[in-house]
Amino acid sequence: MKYFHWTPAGWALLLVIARWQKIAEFLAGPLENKMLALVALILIPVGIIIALKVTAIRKVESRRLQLAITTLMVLVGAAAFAPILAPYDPTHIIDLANAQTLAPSFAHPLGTDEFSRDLLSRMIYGARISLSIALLAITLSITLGTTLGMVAGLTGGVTDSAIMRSIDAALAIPRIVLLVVVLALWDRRDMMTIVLVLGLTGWFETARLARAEVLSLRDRNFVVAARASGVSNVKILWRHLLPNIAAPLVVTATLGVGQLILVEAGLSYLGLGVSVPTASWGSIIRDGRELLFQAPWIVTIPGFAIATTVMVFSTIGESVREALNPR
Amino acid sequence: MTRAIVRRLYQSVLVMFVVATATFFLIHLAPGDPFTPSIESANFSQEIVAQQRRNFGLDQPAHIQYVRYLQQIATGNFGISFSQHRPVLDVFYDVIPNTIVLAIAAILIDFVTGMTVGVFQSTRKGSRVDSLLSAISLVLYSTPVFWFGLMLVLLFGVTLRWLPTAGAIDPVVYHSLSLPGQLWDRIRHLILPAATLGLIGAGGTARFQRSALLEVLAEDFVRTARAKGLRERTVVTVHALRNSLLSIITLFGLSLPALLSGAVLVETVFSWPGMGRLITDAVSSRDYPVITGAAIVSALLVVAGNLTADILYRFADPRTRTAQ
Repeated sequence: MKYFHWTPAGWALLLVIARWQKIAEFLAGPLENKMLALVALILIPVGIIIALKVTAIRKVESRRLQLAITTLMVLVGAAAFAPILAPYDPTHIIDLANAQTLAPSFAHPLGTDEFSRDLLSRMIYGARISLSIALLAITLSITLGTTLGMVAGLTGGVTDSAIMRSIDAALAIPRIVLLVVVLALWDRRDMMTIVLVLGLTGWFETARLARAEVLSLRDRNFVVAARASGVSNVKILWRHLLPNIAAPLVVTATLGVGQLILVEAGLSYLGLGVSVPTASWGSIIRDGRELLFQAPWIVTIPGFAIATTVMVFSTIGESVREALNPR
Repeated sequence: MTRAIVRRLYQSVLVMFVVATATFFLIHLAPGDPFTPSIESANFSQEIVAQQRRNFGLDQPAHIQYVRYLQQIATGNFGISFSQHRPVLDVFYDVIPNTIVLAIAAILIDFVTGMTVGVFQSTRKGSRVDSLLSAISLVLYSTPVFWFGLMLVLLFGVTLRWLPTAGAIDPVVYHSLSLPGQLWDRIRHLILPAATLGLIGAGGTARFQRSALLEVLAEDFVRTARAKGLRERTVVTVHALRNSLLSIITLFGLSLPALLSGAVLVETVFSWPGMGRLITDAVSSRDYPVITGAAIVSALLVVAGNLTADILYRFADPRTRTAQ
């Protein structure tokens, strides 16, 4: 109970009381929302504990890290409990005649957009889209990159050169250009399309890293010994090599989430993210770009949200690197 | 050294071949083609659609299209733009200089600011200024480049009205200006997009330069230089900075693709008539030849940049000259 604090617990309690009606709706609502909330409820404490444990191994400058973790938890909480927290449905058009581009006020804390949709609700639901896409895509690309990189490093020869030359080529195309080429021809893009495309175009650097790490370990005695005693290649990769290269991969993954959020925002800004009217932070900026002068808050606020989130992941990633990497 | 460079050249050609192949298949794996009926074109008759497909060779089987495509690319022919009805290469000639000007200006801002700040920070490690600058560079590093651009537009274009926010020239008065006037007009239009791209990059460069220089400053030869009684200034600039340049050159090579990615977004924000804007326009008109061509040309720019970085590296580090 070392990490239990009364203040956040009190806020949570107040929230439950204030929003009990929405909570009832939420519990009666669609299953996928509840599943997402459940995942977040498990993920939040696990994430906190892992981060604190890892950084406690070596004393890392922890003030910034604590702030980053707290912010992340607030974001994940907002994303997971969006149906409870958001005052409106994110795509609900309130009043096209009278409620267009309202400035922030008590009724609409972040104002409304061109179509009179409540921006606070869009931001909260946008967190959901941006975070889920980034987290799912990083899982996909880290898995793919690690597997291919390790296989390339361990087997060598033709497989190795084929994989590495393809990676050279893929890295030569600027990421956004590559994504535009791939996404341009899809008419409707749902979340899973974006996750797949981002994941499948994001593993190249991880693969290089995993390969380099495997190459540096391949001829070490513990691997040679395992091979001599007849352990299969798959088992060597899984049991002997993976645990040894996990640390840099975890750091890459954490930093990668931030970069993915930036890339996803960029794609949405170009109109190649999840199709309208679904809100993501990038697409809110896109919606507001023509109103930069009349309604600057539409563009300004999501940018701060994106930058904060990316900073959170950078800070956590770097703290973990510092903790795992004595120098 | 020449042999190593020739080998790198050969590798670059191979990379370009894979890029060309990959773009071809990516485009052809995606559902639909430019003549797939959409809301706007629903009324066209089947014959016209079939005729258009035939004109652009889209009725051929994929492997024949592929071979023809490779032949054309090898001769620098990217086909005819679907939407502009003229050779893609001509379209590129119009936009590539703009992108290169923007990229060079951005790289200058990026590395000059980033390296200066990084060096300044590492000589005052742990001070207040150091942590302040670290915070600023972290913020810049985490900021979406297109949003930063919009914020600059809001500040300098809309509120202060100091600088133009769209295009590369003033379409109204440009042609009546004198030569220096035209140059000044171009520079004024370049400032905001280049600053956006350059400053966002400078955040990362400063962080990189700081840690690279700190690493070098901990080396034995730096202690020796200090022990000799050299001035701190000489130790940092002559002994340490020169060594950290090696990793900066690597960073330069690595940051090119990111720079061009950023350019796509920044060009869209500032209506800069370059490659990036061309690509986003081509997407909305499903202009295959332009999209594939643009991917290949941007890859070519990256490969050329990497080659330059590689040669610079060999030039800067005598150890690599004899190693290979």
